Amino acid sequence: MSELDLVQLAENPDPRAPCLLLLDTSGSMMGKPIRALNEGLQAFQQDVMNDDLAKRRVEVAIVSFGKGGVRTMQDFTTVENWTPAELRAGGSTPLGEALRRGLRLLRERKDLYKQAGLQYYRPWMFLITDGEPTDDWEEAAKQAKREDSHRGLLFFAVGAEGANMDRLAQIVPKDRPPLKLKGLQFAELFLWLSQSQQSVSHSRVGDQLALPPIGWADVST
Amino acid sequence: MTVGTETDFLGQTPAVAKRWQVVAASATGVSHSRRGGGNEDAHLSASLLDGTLILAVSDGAGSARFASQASQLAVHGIIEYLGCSSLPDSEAGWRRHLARGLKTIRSSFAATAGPGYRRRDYACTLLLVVLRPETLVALQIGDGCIVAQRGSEELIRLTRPFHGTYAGETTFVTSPRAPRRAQVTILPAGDISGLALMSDGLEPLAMNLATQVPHPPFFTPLFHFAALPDKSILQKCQELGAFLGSERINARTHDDKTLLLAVP
Repeated sequence: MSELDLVQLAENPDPRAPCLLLLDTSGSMMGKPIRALNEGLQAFQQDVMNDDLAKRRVEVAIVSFGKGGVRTMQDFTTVENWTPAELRAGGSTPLGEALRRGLRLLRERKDLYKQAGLQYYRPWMFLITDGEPTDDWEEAAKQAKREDSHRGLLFFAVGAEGANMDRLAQIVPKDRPPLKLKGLQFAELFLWLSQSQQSVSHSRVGDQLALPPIGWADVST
Repeated sequence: MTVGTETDFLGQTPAVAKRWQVVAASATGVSHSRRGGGNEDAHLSASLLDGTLILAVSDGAGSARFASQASQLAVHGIIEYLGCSSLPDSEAGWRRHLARGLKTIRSSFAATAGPGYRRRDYACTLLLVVLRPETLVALQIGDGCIVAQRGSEELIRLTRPFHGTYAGETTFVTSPRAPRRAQVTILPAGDISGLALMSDGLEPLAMNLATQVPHPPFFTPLFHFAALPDKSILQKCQELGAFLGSERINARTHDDKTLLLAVP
């Protein structure tokens, strides 16, 4: 036995990497698209679970907009405690309200981290839509862009088949244009998101984090 | 795993070096091994002819292309610089001295890289202790921590790393703001009974992160171990290396881990 066996390690909570998903579940997502989206979420969860550090650090929240209006399908929880609930499609596309809900959830989560003395990584807000907003979105988008420019979050948007990409480009920050999903490659998209979140949750950055290459989007946009 | 023993600077063994023993080791993090990368931490110690003991640890940034060269150049560069200059006494003096030292380190990065030199390729942290019979100086750029033991068991954190708003944000020696953001602590050296420098991979295991207080059950056995009289320094370095690469440490951190202990 070595004297070093006597060394006891300090217990500290893991820093958290919040990842908020804003998911379009409007009528146009019915059928194959919503199935692919649900499979994508499953793939995301399973892939993060393979990383024993990331599964404790990455926290997921899901806001859906479409069937049932805007719904917080999942408030922030670590991936190891998350069971993806099945999303159903229907209704209109209240993207603006979903953005407001998402920003509020993020704010509340950050307050909670601060109260608990938890370190956290810059939150990601990841929007996926196949249409365009059917409600007021301008103010909410402005707010999201403002918080992004103040480094309060990282705002990404992905347009699936049928998305109004020009409108989407007005919603997200100029320096991070929306990406166009190839076909129904939700699984590939979510595996990329999983790999990115694993990088984030292990990261130490003085400048820029290198994200995995994007294979699931059309480069033409 | 690499182990390190004390390097006699300028070839002699002065008084202070005889009194202080340095036990140091470094182990590659599992996330680096998985990616096929090597250890990006470096450590080095030296005793000067006048009895000054210098301890240095550097942690190459994961995002830096030449992280392991950078950390090696940083610890060698700073010790060489300090060994060939007269040392200041005041905090302001040390800040200026450090700024010049960092300049020589950055020049060595540029010289090694050649024409394609990019600062970010050589981003690394620097933790430094300069111990003289009267004073102890601790300097730090970036994360990681330096802890001293005073008397029989009082532990004090000598530097507070710069942490940005978010986890994982830090300052590197390549940043123009590094000299300003450097932590500089000067203390009387008289009752210092142990020194520990560590890269940030060990920080969550050694410190209470919420209060920034050193965890005594971590440090006290380590200082005791480093001072054991019946083991050679090489043996201790090897045991420390095995400890840093052990399963129970790797279960808690995927980063490279470097620990340098010095005891009288």
